[in-house]
Amino acid sequence: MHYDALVIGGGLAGCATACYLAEAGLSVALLERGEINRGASGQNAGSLHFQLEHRLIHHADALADELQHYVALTQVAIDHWRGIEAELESPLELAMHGGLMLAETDEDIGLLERKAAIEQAQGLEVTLLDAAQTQARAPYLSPAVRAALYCPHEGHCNPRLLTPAYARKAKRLGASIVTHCAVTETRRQGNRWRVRGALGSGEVCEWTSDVLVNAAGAWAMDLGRMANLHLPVFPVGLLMNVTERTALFIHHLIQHVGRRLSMKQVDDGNVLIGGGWSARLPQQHGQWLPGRPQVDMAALRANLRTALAVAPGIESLRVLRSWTGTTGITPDQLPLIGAVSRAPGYYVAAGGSGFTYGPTYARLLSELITRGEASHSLAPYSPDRFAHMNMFMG
Amino acid sequence: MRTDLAIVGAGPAGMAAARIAASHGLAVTVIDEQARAGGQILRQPPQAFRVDRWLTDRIYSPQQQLLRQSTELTNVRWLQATTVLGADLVAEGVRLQLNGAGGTCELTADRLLIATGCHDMPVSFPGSTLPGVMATGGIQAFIKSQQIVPGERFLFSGSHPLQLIVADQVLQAGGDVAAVLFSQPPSVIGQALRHSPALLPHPGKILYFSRACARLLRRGVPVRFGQVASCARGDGRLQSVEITASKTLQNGAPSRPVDSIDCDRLGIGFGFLANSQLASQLGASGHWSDTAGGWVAEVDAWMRSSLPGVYVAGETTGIGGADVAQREGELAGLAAALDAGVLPVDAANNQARPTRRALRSLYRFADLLSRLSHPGADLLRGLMTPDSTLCKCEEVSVGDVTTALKNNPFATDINALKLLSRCGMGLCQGRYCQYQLRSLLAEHRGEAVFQSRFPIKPVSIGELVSGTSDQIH
Ligand SMILES: Cc1cc2nc3c(=O)[nH]c(=O)nc-3n(C[C@H](O)[C@H](O)[C@H](O)COP(=O)(O)OP(=O)(O)OC[C@H]3O[C@@H](n4cnc5c(N)ncnc54)[C@H](O)[C@@H]3O)c2cc1C
Ligand SMILES: Cc1cc2nc3c(=O)[nH]c(=O)nc-3n(C[C@H](O)[C@H](O)[C@H](O)COP(=O)(O)OP(=O)(O)OC[C@H]3O[C@@H](n4cnc5c(N)ncnc54)[C@H](O)[C@@H]3O)c2cc1C
Repeated sequence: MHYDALVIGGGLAGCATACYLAEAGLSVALLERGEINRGASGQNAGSLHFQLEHRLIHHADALADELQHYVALTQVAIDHWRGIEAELESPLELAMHGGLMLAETDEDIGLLERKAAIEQAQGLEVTLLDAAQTQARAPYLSPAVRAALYCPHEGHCNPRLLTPAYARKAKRLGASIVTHCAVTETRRQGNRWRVRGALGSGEVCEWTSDVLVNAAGAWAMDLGRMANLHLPVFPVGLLMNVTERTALFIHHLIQHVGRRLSMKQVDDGNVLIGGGWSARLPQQHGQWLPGRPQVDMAALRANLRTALAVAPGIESLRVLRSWTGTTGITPDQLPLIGAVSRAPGYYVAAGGSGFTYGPTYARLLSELITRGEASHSLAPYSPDRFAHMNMFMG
Repeated sequence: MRTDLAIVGAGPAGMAAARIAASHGLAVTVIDEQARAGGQILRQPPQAFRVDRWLTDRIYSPQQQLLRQSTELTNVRWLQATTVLGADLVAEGVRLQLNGAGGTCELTADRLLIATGCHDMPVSFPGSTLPGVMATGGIQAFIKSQQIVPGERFLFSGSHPLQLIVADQVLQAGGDVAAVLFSQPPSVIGQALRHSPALLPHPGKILYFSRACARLLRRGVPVRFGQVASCARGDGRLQSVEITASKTLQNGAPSRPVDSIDCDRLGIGFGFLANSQLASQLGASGHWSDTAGGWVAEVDAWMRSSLPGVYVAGETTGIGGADVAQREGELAGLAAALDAGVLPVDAANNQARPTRRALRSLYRFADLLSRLSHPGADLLRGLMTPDSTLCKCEEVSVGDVTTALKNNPFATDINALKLLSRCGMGLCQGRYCQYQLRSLLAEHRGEAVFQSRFPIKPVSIGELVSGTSDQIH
């Protein structure tokens, strides 16, 4: 079977890219080894965080160009999110009611002030709040919170709903969605990609395509290997916790400038607590296994302690579940999005804050694929920045 | 804290294992979330409250004897009113997360026995969440532990013979029973009799059961076959129950009530499901059984699971009743001693021999019971109207799930469906909807069961952070 494009991976990156490619009129098949949305895309915190990350703040001077690009991209993403429920014709439990980045210590405050100055200079809408203003806006926060940076666009969306909505739309637009199909081989043959996959039944299938999109998430490196490529994406395990429902009292996305924390309350009343605490990846014979990472109780307790310190009202709430997911990170923490020059027709969409930016990355990537150029440059994310890793790959 | 052998569950399986392992010198810790030992079969009254004639029937005497023996053991530590929230394999063995009176803490054990028992199989039908509709086993637990009848006029609907025993216990405790409905056709009695070789070695059970039936008949309680409660009605609480012929529902036809009975309690008794969350969270191998408890752990002849140092016994390996549970517990206790190197293999084999002999015939009996007492997938599916509540915690109806399936035809595994529909995402972690949710999936291609997560039972953030973790990473 021949397609214009084969997309490998049924997470947000894969489903959204398949959807935009199908919308642009390409014939598309998406191959997923398990079920749609069962990877990081269905297990993440669902935070829409637009404030700058640490990395960018710490090296603001050296990264001035990148900063500018990033803030401009953030603006594109914000606009994209505002229209996404209409675009996908699905309710997604989207809330963009603002987010607070908290500070408790003098050091935190210093960092926050620096951050605010950089962001404002770049044109990102943020307001620095002192203790009293923070209390007034968010009375559920502990008096220990001495300042906060408020960004009105931040919020959350339900990861349960977003990726399936893209998958449904892709299917409506004619894309074929093949689940329980693990891709085992991708080879360049003439001017086409030849892809083999093993179906759950054991049957082996083969497809050809002009374009191949590697959207295998934390496993993008493994998939890259099948095309004789080093794509530096490394799996990490992360932890999330959810409490029982309670009356709405947390009205923002809460993050912390000096500690690992993300917290929000969804419309149904559950409080979600995470923020980058690690979970142990399963391994065997020195290889990472695709299974779910193990909860690390010390990390779990530290995560909840951090949350409790800034929001004392959560103490009596019962934790329903702690879960873990595996996401992919790159050596420079920027995503890998774009074409791989040495492998014509090979594209990658992996890494980064792939929920907040996933829809936008996918749309821009599909523009790059179908028109040769994206409406907002993807240059900083080009996989070619790691071309040196493939220099000797023959 | 550490221990040689941690046992989760102080029912017949856990108590029997504790007795044997302790007798071979292992330091044993038994953890159970109930205030007192005994498990489901001996649901004990609270210590403060004296019940004169607590479970006097001879049928309970083996377990009562076991309970007496167990509580006299010296090198056994009993952590009652303590819930196991989760477990993981560590270099030293198994680490358990506990939640008891003093908050949360960790217990590291060389070995772990999971003997967590079972719970009543929940069934969805219109009105199944109305106050007054109860699990039959739940009614029994109430009577056993309190000697109080939780209602006035009872109707029982189901497929499990336990219905007759509970109906009899209700009568004896002073309640009124309107009828007992069995979804199976009357020919089920003939089928049972045809298998009498499997029944004969268990005269005590048969006698107990026959006496209960005789008492019901004497009191004029109608026992009807081929009928089922298809709708519970009432204004805020149960007032009447509609009854439909099983055949109608099995054929997928809409319910056509043949009768309606006024009552304030409806007992639902279609059998039991294994409490397998802990075993599945740890990653033990298991398989799905429609008739013997849903997802059950797989064990070898010594009740060893697929995981090193982890044993499973009792209902969690497949529903078999209290006597099977007790015998499996004995084997697990021997195996723990054997694997710990304190019991030579010959001695272990010798001691296991009578237990294995007893188990052979008990398994035959249990298999027969499981097969005959299962209502069949068609009947359960027939009861599930679109409006019926499937997931009580998240208020998801059968219709919500079938719509999600229709809109997302690429979802074929139960965890994907859970993520799409919220069914199973609530307080009980899906214990109450997993079995039925599975029946809505036309084909199963992925995982067979919900991924069981920490904590197995909800625990407050305050309790969690007050605890400590030995290992900091
Ligand atoms: C706990 C957690 C919290 C997070 N919180 C946030 C947050 O709040 N905000 C945010 O922006 N980001 C967050 N992230 C990151 C975000 O979830 C990811 O960046 C994003 O979901 C990645 O999407 P993806 O489609 O690339 O990967 P995935 O969703 O993991 O999808 C990859 C898919 O590829 C499939 N696959 C792999 N190999 C093969 C093969 N050989 N053949 C076929 N299929 C294959 C996999 O089965 C998988 O389904 C979080 C991540 C985690 C784990
Ligand atoms: C309501 C009910 C009534 C029953 N009535 C009968 C009957 O009349 N006759 C009969 O033969 N069988 C009956 N059964 C079946 C009965 O369960 C078994 O016969 C027998 O009790 C099984 O023994 P067990 O040791 O496997 O489990 P159980 O006796 O069920 O013991 C398991 C114990 O594990 C504990 N536990 C479970 N999970 C955790 C956790 N995470 N942390 C801490 N503790 C935990 C529970 O509190 C329980 O005490 C009934 C079952 C139920 C559910």
